Amino acid sequence: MFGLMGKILRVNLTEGKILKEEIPEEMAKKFLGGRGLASKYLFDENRPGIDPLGPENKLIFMSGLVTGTASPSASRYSVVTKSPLTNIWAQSSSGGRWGVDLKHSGFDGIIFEGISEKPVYLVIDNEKAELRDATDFWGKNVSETTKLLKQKLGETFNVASIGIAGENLVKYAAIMNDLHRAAGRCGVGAVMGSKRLKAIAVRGARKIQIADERAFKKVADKQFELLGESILSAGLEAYGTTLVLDMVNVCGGLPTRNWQTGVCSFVEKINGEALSEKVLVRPVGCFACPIKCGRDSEIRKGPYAGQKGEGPEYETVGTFGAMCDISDFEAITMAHYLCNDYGLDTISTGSTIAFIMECFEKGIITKESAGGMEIYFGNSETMIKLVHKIAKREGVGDLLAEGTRRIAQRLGQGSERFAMNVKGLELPAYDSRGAKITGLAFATANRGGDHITAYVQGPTFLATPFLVIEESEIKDPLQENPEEAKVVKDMEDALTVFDAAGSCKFMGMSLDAKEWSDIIATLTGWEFGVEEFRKTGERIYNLERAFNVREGLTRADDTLPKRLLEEPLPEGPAVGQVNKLEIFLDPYYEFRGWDKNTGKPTPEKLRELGLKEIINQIYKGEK
Amino acid sequence: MYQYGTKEWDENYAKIVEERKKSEQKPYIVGTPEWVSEFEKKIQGDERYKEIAKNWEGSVVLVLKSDPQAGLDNDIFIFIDLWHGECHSVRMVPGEAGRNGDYVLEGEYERWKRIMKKELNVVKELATRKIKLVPFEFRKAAKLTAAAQASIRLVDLSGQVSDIFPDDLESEKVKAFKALLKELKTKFGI
Ligand code: SF4
Repeated sequence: MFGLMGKILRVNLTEGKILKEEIPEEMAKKFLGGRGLASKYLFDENRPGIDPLGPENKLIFMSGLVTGTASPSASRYSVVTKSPLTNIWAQSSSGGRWGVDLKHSGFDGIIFEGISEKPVYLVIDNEKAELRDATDFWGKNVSETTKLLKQKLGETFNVASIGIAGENLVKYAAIMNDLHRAAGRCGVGAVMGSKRLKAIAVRGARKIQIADERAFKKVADKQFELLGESILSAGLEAYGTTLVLDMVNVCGGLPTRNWQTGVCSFVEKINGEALSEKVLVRPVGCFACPIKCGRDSEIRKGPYAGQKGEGPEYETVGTFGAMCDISDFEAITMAHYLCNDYGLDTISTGSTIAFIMECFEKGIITKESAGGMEIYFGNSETMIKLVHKIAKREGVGDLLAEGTRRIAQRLGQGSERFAMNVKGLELPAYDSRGAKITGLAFATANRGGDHITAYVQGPTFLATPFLVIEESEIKDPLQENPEEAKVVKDMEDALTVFDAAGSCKFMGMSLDAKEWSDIIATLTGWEFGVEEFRKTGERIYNLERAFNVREGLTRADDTLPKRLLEEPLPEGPAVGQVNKLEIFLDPYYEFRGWDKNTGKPTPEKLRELGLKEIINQIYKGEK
Repeated sequence: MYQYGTKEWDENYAKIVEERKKSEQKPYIVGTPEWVSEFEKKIQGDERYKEIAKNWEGSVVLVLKSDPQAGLDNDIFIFIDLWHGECHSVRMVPGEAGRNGDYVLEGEYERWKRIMKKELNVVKELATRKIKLVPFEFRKAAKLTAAAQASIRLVDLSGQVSDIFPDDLESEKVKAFKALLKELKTKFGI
């Protein structure tokens, strides 16, 4: 097969057995790879209603279709499973180069099933795979695990692993690869921990077959050329993702003090320039990335001086900084390093801490119930302590490790109003009251409250259109224009293809769908034009939605926290604004071809997308 | 011809602007000195621009490429002198002076027209290189991205000044417009 290696590994951890399986080409054509292919396997193999941390849940790693090739940023892999944080479909993608090395080892992906009796790790070396005892690594964090595994196996192995947070089943634990890159969202690291799978070390030199090498190279070269002169790429390379902080803040949409306001008064202390001045060593990039939005960094002063790592990213600064009301950039950077080493999602960790700070402010949690801790907004020392406690599930950290939805269920007293999650997934650092359409995207994203499923923050907060869809313009971000619900649908579909292809979504800003279709067509030899590009994204998106419907999700779940729906922003350019989500929902379902009452994809839509085999599963018992 | 950069040039440019503001009717034709002067006032009075551009440093030059069919026999350089949310001045300037601006953004007249009419998004035009940063310098490109909202606000304000473009005029007026540009070229080197 061209593009893909055509094979996956199936690892039964209960029995310690490893099987090799072929990927049918017809399946690959429909779902490409990465998130698409993995979601197809998950839909087919996971029974609805199972415990995400139990043996029945599958944990699937899958590299993208173009991952490992010479296409720009072809670095990514996806982890797909059922989330312990949200209890629905989970996907998390990561860059670096681990996904590339997995593919070069001879396999596109790995399906883990069951639970190992003892801690284990998987080694794949040029198509040979073996499970080994990981007892010595259990209890160790990501940096140490990686170091020890490389010492044992050789430097040429690349490692993806969990840290202590994953072992302790923190509901938003991440899987880390290349030390600093995270498959962060939805608690995929907790699923890995539940299986007692500590790490996966890969190495290989298997070649990816390309259908038309010359044509492929020509298209890829052109893409690099276009990106080389793109102002958007330059912005990301110069400032990293923290480029965005000022842009969001001037729109009044930078969630501050757990979303009590959208204006952060100390933004210049935590923005891209502050990062460059305070901690930047040099920009770093994922495999084959011409942009290099990553930051190699070092803390130079204060109590954490001498600590080194990568980051922080925009989301870390938004959550640990503005949301927690902390302007100490060194502390924010330290929190980021800690999350990477413990294997924690920075968005959920930072948001959960901001949430508990507000609970403390309101007296919903007290010093006594917090194990003697005073959890004030703006206290960076407390914030750092809480990161340790969450990862170790120590004291109040045990509660915090459950995420905002479960904490609010336990604490009550109105805290659910400002538990800032959708479907259980903590929201990223963009206040949707400052750009209305982004609220729709939060509400409908298949994995829960997420920005990167349909990055409509691009055309709104950043005033930056995405070329990968025909029309991504939002006329007035503060108005609810029902027609613009289509932008969310189109972006969701297009960016789904990026996850399936294994390309970074930032490339969707500068290159259009024709350019991406040409890459896939020349790589695989398939007839793959813009129409196929769009349809494939829509097919995968609907399959994921169907998975969620099968788990019991309905229209009522496509909503936002009460704070966004009912509490007007108190100041700034978006003063007085709330999300009138209902204005968008009906048009969105209409554009999607979903039933407006139930939120289910209609049988006609599923048939149109070539998914008729799943109709019975989501319309069970119905006429 | 008055020498750009001299007091004489400045005074006479100001004079022609004032004269034409008296003789011409609003809304002024886009690309005339009186339109440019109104544009300046718009920016100076815009609180939103002040807020979102408070970190911006440097002049921006809009280059409208010549398009004889539309009435532009030569390139037009609109020099916008900006600093931390303030707009010191907006003027039409000779090509050489325009090229010395900090951020020179060049595009076909037709593209600029559609941007000012809000039919096109200036950031998208920059991203697709229909409007070019000339010369392309990494550091400047990065700053422009970071200031995307301010760029949009600027062109929105320009669009608010007038929606009368030279190629929309009747033939008599086109002649007068061309004669004006010729006069500006001969007297001011614009
Ligand atoms: S833009 Fe950033 S995240 Fe995307 S591939 Fe490049 S370095 Fe990785």
